[in-house]
Amino acid sequence: MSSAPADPPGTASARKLLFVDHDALERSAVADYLRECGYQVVEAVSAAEAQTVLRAHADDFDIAFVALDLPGDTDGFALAHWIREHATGTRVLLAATAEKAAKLAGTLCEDGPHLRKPYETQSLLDWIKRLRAPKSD
Amino acid sequence: MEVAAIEATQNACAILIVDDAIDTRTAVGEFLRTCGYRVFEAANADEALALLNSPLEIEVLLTDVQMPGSMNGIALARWVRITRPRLRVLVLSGQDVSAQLAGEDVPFCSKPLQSAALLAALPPAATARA
Repeated sequence: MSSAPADPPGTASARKLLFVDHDALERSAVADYLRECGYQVVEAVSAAEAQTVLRAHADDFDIAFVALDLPGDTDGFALAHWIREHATGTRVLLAATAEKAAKLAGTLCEDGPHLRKPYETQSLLDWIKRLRAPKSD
Repeated sequence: MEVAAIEATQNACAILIVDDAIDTRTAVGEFLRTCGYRVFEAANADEALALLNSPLEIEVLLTDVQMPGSMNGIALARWVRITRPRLRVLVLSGQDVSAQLAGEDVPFCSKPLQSAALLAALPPAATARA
Protein backbone atom coordinates (compact mmCIF):
# COMPACT_ATOMS: atom_id res chain seq x y z
CA MET A 1 0.00 0.00 0.00
CA SER A 2 1.40 3.36 -0.94
CA SER A 3 1.22 5.90 1.85
CA ALA A 4 1.76 8.97 -0.30
CA PRO A 5 -1.27 11.23 -0.56
CA ALA A 6 -3.00 11.52 -3.93
CA ASP A 7 -2.39 15.26 -3.97
CA PRO A 8 0.07 17.38 -2.06
CA PRO A 9 -1.57 18.77 1.08
CA GLY A 10 -2.61 22.35 0.89
CA THR A 11 -3.30 22.24 -2.83
CA ALA A 12 -6.68 23.05 -4.27
CA SER A 13 -7.18 19.48 -5.45
CA ALA A 14 -6.23 17.86 -2.18
CA ARG A 15 -9.13 16.28 -0.37
CA LYS A 16 -9.74 15.66 3.29
CA LEU A 17 -8.30 13.07 5.63
CA LEU A 18 -10.62 11.23 8.01
CA PHE A 19 -8.92 10.39 11.30
CA VAL A 20 -10.70 7.77 13.40
CA ASP A 21 -9.43 7.17 16.93
CA HIS A 22 -11.22 7.05 20.28
CA ASP A 23 -8.16 8.21 22.22
CA ALA A 24 -8.65 11.96 22.50
CA LEU A 25 -5.02 12.75 23.26
CA GLU A 26 -3.52 10.73 20.45
CA ARG A 27 -6.21 11.83 18.02
CA SER A 28 -5.74 15.50 18.87
CA ALA A 29 -1.94 15.32 18.65
CA VAL A 30 -1.85 13.53 15.32
CA ALA A 31 -4.72 15.54 13.80
CA ASP A 32 -3.11 18.81 14.88
CA TYR A 33 0.17 17.65 13.37
CA LEU A 34 -1.48 16.68 10.10
CA ARG A 35 -3.21 20.07 9.94
CA GLU A 36 0.16 21.73 10.32
CA CYS A 37 1.19 19.63 7.33
CA GLY A 38 -1.61 21.27 5.35
CA TYR A 39 -4.22 18.54 5.46
CA GLN A 40 -7.83 19.22 6.21
CA VAL A 41 -8.62 16.65 8.89
CA VAL A 42 -11.99 15.47 10.12
CA GLU A 43 -11.87 13.72 13.48
CA ALA A 44 -14.14 10.79 14.30
CA VAL A 45 -14.15 9.10 17.69
CA SER A 46 -15.83 5.87 16.61
CA ALA A 47 -16.66 3.72 13.62
CA ALA A 48 -20.23 4.99 13.84
CA GLU A 49 -19.09 8.59 13.47
CA ALA A 50 -16.78 7.66 10.61
CA GLN A 51 -19.62 5.90 8.82
CA THR A 52 -21.88 8.91 9.34
CA VAL A 53 -19.32 11.17 7.72
CA LEU A 54 -18.52 8.83 4.85
CA ARG A 55 -22.18 8.10 4.06
CA ALA A 56 -22.68 11.81 3.51
CA HIS A 57 -19.32 12.86 2.11
CA ALA A 58 -17.39 9.81 0.86
CA ASP A 59 -16.09 11.66 -2.18
CA ASP A 60 -14.46 14.27 0.03
CA PHE A 61 -11.95 11.90 1.57
CA ASP A 62 -8.73 10.55 0.03
CA ILE A 63 -7.58 8.73 3.11
CA ALA A 64 -9.12 7.27 6.24
CA PHE A 65 -6.66 6.88 9.07
CA VAL A 66 -8.20 4.20 11.32
CA ALA A 67 -7.10 2.97 14.76
CA LEU A 68 -7.61 -0.76 15.14
CA ASP A 69 -8.87 -0.70 18.71
CA LEU A 70 -12.08 1.23 18.22
CA PRO A 71 -14.77 0.70 20.86
CA GLY A 72 -18.18 -0.74 20.06
CA ASP A 73 -19.35 -3.40 17.67
CA THR A 74 -17.21 -2.17 14.78
CA ASP A 75 -13.48 -2.22 15.36
CA GLY A 76 -10.84 -0.85 13.02
CA PHE A 77 -10.67 -3.98 10.87
CA ALA A 78 -14.43 -4.04 10.42
CA LEU A 79 -14.48 -0.33 9.64
CA ALA A 80 -11.74 -0.81 7.05
CA HIS A 81 -13.83 -3.51 5.36
CA TRP A 82 -16.86 -1.24 5.43
CA ILE A 83 -14.92 1.65 3.90
CA ARG A 84 -13.59 -0.56 1.11
CA GLU A 85 -17.15 -1.56 0.30
CA HIS A 86 -18.91 1.78 0.71
CA ALA A 87 -16.26 4.43 0.07
CA THR A 88 -14.18 2.91 -2.68
CA GLY A 89 -12.30 6.12 -3.39
CA THR A 90 -10.99 6.32 0.16
CA ARG A 91 -7.78 4.50 1.01
CA VAL A 92 -7.43 3.11 4.52
CA LEU A 93 -4.38 3.37 6.75
CA LEU A 94 -4.65 1.18 9.83
CA ALA A 95 -2.78 2.07 13.00
CA ALA A 96 -2.44 -0.37 15.90
CA THR A 97 -0.35 1.67 18.30
CA ALA A 98 0.59 5.28 18.95
CA GLU A 99 4.00 4.51 17.46
CA LYS A 100 2.37 3.14 14.32
CA ALA A 101 0.05 6.13 14.09
CA ALA A 102 2.97 8.53 14.48
CA LYS A 103 4.96 6.71 11.82
CA LEU A 104 2.07 6.78 9.36
CA ALA A 105 1.40 10.45 10.06
CA GLY A 106 5.08 11.20 9.59
CA THR A 107 4.99 9.45 6.24
CA LEU A 108 1.95 11.46 5.17
CA CYS A 109 3.77 14.62 6.20
CA GLU A 110 6.98 13.88 4.39
CA ASP A 111 6.76 17.30 2.75
CA GLY A 112 6.06 19.22 5.92
CA PRO A 113 5.57 20.85 8.29
CA HIS A 114 8.55 23.05 7.69
CA LEU A 115 8.85 24.81 11.02
CA ARG A 116 11.28 22.32 12.53
CA LYS A 117 13.22 20.29 10.03
CA PRO A 118 13.41 17.45 10.12
CA TYR A 119 10.04 17.07 11.86
CA GLU A 120 10.57 13.48 12.81
CA THR A 121 7.89 11.09 13.94
CA GLN A 122 9.72 10.83 17.24
CA SER A 123 8.71 14.42 17.83
CA LEU A 124 5.11 13.43 17.36
CA LEU A 125 5.50 10.52 19.75
CA ASP A 126 7.13 12.80 22.28
CA TRP A 127 4.23 15.18 21.85
CA ILE A 128 1.73 12.42 22.57
CA LYS A 129 3.70 11.45 25.67
CA ARG A 130 3.73 15.06 26.84
CA LEU A 131 -0.01 15.29 26.37
CA ARG A 132 -0.42 12.13 28.44
CA ALA A 133 1.69 13.57 31.25
CA PRO A 134 -0.23 15.16 34.13
CA LYS A 135 -0.76 18.89 33.87
CA SER A 136 1.93 20.70 35.83
CA ASP A 137 -0.20 23.49 37.30
CA MET B 1 2.08 25.16 4.86
CA GLU B 2 4.41 28.14 5.05
CA VAL B 3 6.56 28.69 8.11
CA ALA B 4 4.75 31.90 8.98
CA ALA B 5 1.40 30.14 8.74
CA ILE B 6 2.55 27.30 11.01
CA GLU B 7 3.92 29.77 13.56
CA ALA B 8 0.64 31.69 13.42
CA THR B 9 -1.31 28.49 14.03
CA GLN B 10 0.88 27.47 16.94
CA ASN B 11 0.50 30.90 18.52
CA ALA B 12 -3.21 31.15 17.83
CA CYS B 13 -5.84 31.15 20.53
CA ALA B 14 -6.57 27.50 21.33
CA ILE B 15 -10.22 26.47 21.53
CA LEU B 16 -11.63 23.15 22.67
CA ILE B 17 -15.01 22.32 21.17
CA VAL B 18 -17.02 19.61 22.90
CA ASP B 19 -19.96 18.16 21.02
CA ASP B 20 -21.12 14.60 20.44
CA ALA B 21 -22.58 15.53 17.05
CA ILE B 22 -19.74 15.09 14.58
CA ASP B 23 -21.34 17.26 11.92
CA THR B 24 -21.66 20.22 14.30
CA ARG B 25 -18.26 19.63 15.88
CA THR B 26 -16.56 19.42 12.50
CA ALA B 27 -18.37 22.38 10.96
CA VAL B 28 -17.70 24.70 13.89
CA GLY B 29 -14.11 23.49 14.11
CA GLU B 30 -13.43 24.08 10.43
CA PHE B 31 -15.05 27.49 10.57
CA LEU B 32 -12.97 28.56 13.55
CA ARG B 33 -9.77 27.24 11.95
CA THR B 34 -10.46 29.33 8.88
CA CYS B 35 -10.79 32.29 11.26
CA GLY B 36 -7.29 31.61 12.57
CA TYR B 37 -7.99 29.68 15.75
CA ARG B 38 -6.26 26.50 16.79
CA VAL B 39 -9.10 24.08 17.48
CA PHE B 40 -9.12 20.81 19.38
CA GLU B 41 -12.14 18.52 19.41
CA ALA B 42 -13.79 16.31 22.01
CA ALA B 43 -16.91 14.20 21.62
CA ASN B 44 -17.92 14.29 25.28
CA ALA B 45 -16.94 15.67 28.68
CA ASP B 46 -14.60 12.76 29.42
CA GLU B 47 -12.55 13.47 26.32
CA ALA B 48 -12.64 17.16 27.19
CA LEU B 49 -11.27 16.46 30.66
CA ALA B 50 -8.43 14.42 29.18
CA LEU B 51 -7.47 17.32 26.93
CA LEU B 52 -7.95 19.97 29.64
CA ASN B 53 -5.73 17.95 32.00
CA SER B 54 -3.03 17.67 29.36
CA PRO B 55 -0.36 20.33 28.83
CA LEU B 56 -2.33 21.81 25.94
CA GLU B 57 -2.87 25.49 26.57
CA ILE B 58 -6.59 25.59 25.95
CA GLU B 59 -7.91 29.12 26.35
CA VAL B 60 -11.57 28.76 25.46
CA LEU B 61 -14.04 25.92 25.98
CA LEU B 62 -17.06 25.68 23.72
CA THR B 63 -19.41 23.00 24.90
CA ASP B 64 -22.71 21.55 23.86
CA VAL B 65 -25.16 20.77 26.65
CA GLN B 66 -26.69 17.38 25.93
CA MET B 67 -23.93 14.80 25.67
CA PRO B 68 -23.39 11.21 26.76
CA GLY B 69 -20.73 10.42 29.34
CA SER B 70 -20.03 11.36 32.92
CA MET B 71 -21.13 14.99 32.61
CA ASN B 72 -23.33 17.10 30.41
CA GLY B 73 -22.15 20.48 29.15
CA ILE B 74 -23.56 22.40 32.12
CA ALA B 75 -21.68 20.23 34.59
CA LEU B 76 -18.55 20.49 32.48
CA ALA B 77 -18.86 24.28 32.42
CA ARG B 78 -19.25 24.35 36.20
CA TRP B 79 -16.22 22.09 36.64
CA VAL B 80 -14.13 24.35 34.45
CA ARG B 81 -15.26 27.51 36.25
CA ILE B 82 -14.10 25.96 39.53
CA THR B 83 -10.88 24.30 38.43
CA ARG B 84 -9.81 26.53 35.53
CA PRO B 85 -11.09 30.01 36.44
CA ARG B 86 -8.93 31.67 33.77
CA LEU B 87 -10.35 29.54 30.99
CA ARG B 88 -13.20 31.15 29.10
CA VAL B 89 -16.33 29.04 28.74
CA LEU B 90 -19.11 29.36 26.21
CA VAL B 91 -22.10 27.02 26.24
CA LEU B 92 -23.75 26.17 22.94
CA SER B 93 -27.36 25.10 23.08
CA GLY B 94 -30.47 24.87 21.02
CA GLN B 95 -32.47 25.65 24.13
CA ASP B 96 -32.40 28.55 26.52
CA VAL B 97 -30.19 27.24 29.32
CA SER B 98 -29.68 30.58 31.04
CA ALA B 99 -31.66 29.36 34.04
CA GLN B 100 -29.36 26.37 34.43
CA LEU B 101 -26.39 28.70 34.20
CA ALA B 102 -27.76 31.24 36.67
CA GLY B 103 -24.97 32.52 38.89
CA GLU B 104 -22.30 30.72 36.88
CA ASP B 105 -21.11 33.70 34.83
CA VAL B 106 -21.05 31.48 31.75
CA PRO B 107 -22.47 32.93 28.53
CA PHE B 108 -24.23 30.82 25.97
CA CYS B 109 -24.75 30.94 22.22
CA SER B 110 -27.98 29.71 20.72
CA LYS B 111 -28.00 26.97 18.12
CA PRO B 112 -28.12 27.08 15.20
CA LEU B 113 -24.97 29.10 15.60
CA GLN B 114 -24.56 32.43 13.91
CA SER B 115 -20.97 32.98 12.89
CA ALA B 116 -20.92 36.65 13.85
CA ALA B 117 -22.38 35.95 17.28
CA LEU B 118 -19.92 33.13 17.86
CA LEU B 119 -16.91 35.22 16.88
CA ALA B 120 -18.15 38.13 19.00
CA ALA B 121 -18.11 35.85 22.03
CA LEU B 122 -14.52 34.74 21.45
CA PRO B 123 -11.20 36.43 22.08
CA PRO B 124 -9.16 37.36 19.01
CA ALA B 125 -7.66 34.41 17.15
CA ALA B 126 -4.14 35.75 17.48
CA THR B 127 -3.28 36.05 21.13
CA ALA B 128 0.01 36.90 22.72
CA ARG B 129 0.68 34.35 25.42
CA ALA B 130 2.43 35.49 28.54
